[in-house]
Amino acid sequence: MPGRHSRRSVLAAMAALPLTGAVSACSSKAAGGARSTGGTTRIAFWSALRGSQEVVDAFNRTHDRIQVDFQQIPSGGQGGYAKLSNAARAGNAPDVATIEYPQLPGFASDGVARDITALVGDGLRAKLLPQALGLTTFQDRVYSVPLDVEPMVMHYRTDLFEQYGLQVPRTWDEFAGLAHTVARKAPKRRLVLFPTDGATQFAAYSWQTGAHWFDTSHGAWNVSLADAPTRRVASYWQQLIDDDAVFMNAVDNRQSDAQIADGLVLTRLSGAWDAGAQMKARPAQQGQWRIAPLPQWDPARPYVGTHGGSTFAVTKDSRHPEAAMEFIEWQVSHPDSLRARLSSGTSSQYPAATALVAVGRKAFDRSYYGGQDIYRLFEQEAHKIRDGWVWGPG
Amino acid sequence: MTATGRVMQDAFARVSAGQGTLIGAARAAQDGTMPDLKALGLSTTQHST
Repeated sequence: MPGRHSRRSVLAAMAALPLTGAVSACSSKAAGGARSTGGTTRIAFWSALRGSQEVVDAFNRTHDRIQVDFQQIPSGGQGGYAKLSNAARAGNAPDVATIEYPQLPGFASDGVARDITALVGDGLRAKLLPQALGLTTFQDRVYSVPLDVEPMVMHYRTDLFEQYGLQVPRTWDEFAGLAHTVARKAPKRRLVLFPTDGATQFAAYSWQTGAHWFDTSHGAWNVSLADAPTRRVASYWQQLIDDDAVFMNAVDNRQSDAQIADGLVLTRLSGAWDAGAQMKARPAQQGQWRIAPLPQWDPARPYVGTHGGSTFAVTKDSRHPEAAMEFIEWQVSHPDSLRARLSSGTSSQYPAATALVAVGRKAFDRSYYGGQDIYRLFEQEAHKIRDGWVWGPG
Repeated sequence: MTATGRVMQDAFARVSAGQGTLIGAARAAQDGTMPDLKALGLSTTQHST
C-alpha cells in the first residue's frame, strides 16, 4: 500500500550542495587537509582499499601541480564509514573518499558525497562501462566515479565436479537439480552456501531477475523489497533451504572458511573480485577452481547483478573539487594506476574503465585457474549487468 | 543500503535457525528501511508488490 511522505524530495536532498570549485583558487587551508601552497594543490584522500598507497605514490611521482595526502582507514563496515560521516559532520572530510556502491545513495542523500556531474567530462564518461557509471548516477546527477564493477559469476570446484560427474549448470533450474544431486551423492557436501550475511548477494540475485528494490522516479524514493522478481528469488532459495540442499550460514566467518578449505562447498556465487581473494586465501587449492557464468533464468535473455566494487566521491568539504576529480580520473583510468594497485598483491578486480581490462588480464597469473582466461569471462559477464538497479539510501 | 542490509541479514539468521522465511526477511527489511528514509527527510513511497 503506497504511503507518501514529503518533507524533502529526493532531488532536493541530493542537489542541495552546489559545486564550490570557484573557492579553490583562493583557499589556503581547507577542511579535510586540502591546501594550496606555491602552485601545488594538496588534497586529502581516505580509502580502505589495498594498494591505495602505491597508487598515491605513483600519482605524486608523476604530478607536480597536485599532490595527494593519503590516509588508510578501516573498511566501511569496520568503522571507515562512521569515520567519514563523523568527519563530514565536523566539516573536515577528506577531498576524496572511497564509497562502495550500496552505500553511495546514503552518503549522497546526507550531502557527504557531492554532485560532481559538471566535473565528469565526456572523456571520462566514454572510458567507463555505462552500467558502472549508471550505478553512481541518480536522476542524471553523478555522485561518484566507479573504480571497479564486479559482475556475479560462479566459481566452481572443477575437480569435484569431475569426481561426481557433474555438469556446469547454465540455468537456475539446472543449478537446483545439481544441488539435490550433490546432497544425495555426497551427504557432507553441498553445492553452495546461502549466506546469512549476504544481503548484497540476495540483492544481486534479485537484480538479475529484474527486481527494483529502490527507484527515484517521480521525485521520491520508491521502495519495493518484496516485488515479484524478489519473491521468485526468495521462493527458489527457500525451497533449497527447506530441502537441506544448501548450506546456510554466515560467509564471513571460520565455518565458511572451513567449508571452502575442506572442499565441502562446490561453488561460490560472488563477484569477479573473489577470484583473486580465493587465490590469496587458499593457495593450496591451485588448479581446483574454474569460473563460469552465473546461472540464468532464461539463457536467451541473460542478465547479472553485481557483487562488490568501489567508487570515489568528492566530499562536500573539498575546497579543490577540480583537483580531486583530476586525481580520481587518473586513479580509475590510467594504466599506471592499476599497475601500482596490482603491485600490492594479487587482485582480480574488474576495472570500470574498459581500457584497463587488458592491464588486469596481463598482470593476472592464470595458473591458479588452470590457464583459464577469467578476464575474458568477466568482460562477457560485465556486459550482462542489468540496467536500472538503484541501491537505497537507508 | 546499510540499515536495510542489516535488518535483512538479521532475518536471514533467524531463517537459518528455522524461524521465518526469506521473503519474510525481505519484507522485514522494507519495514525497517522506511523509518530511516523518513529520518533522512526523504520523500518516499513503498509498495508491497
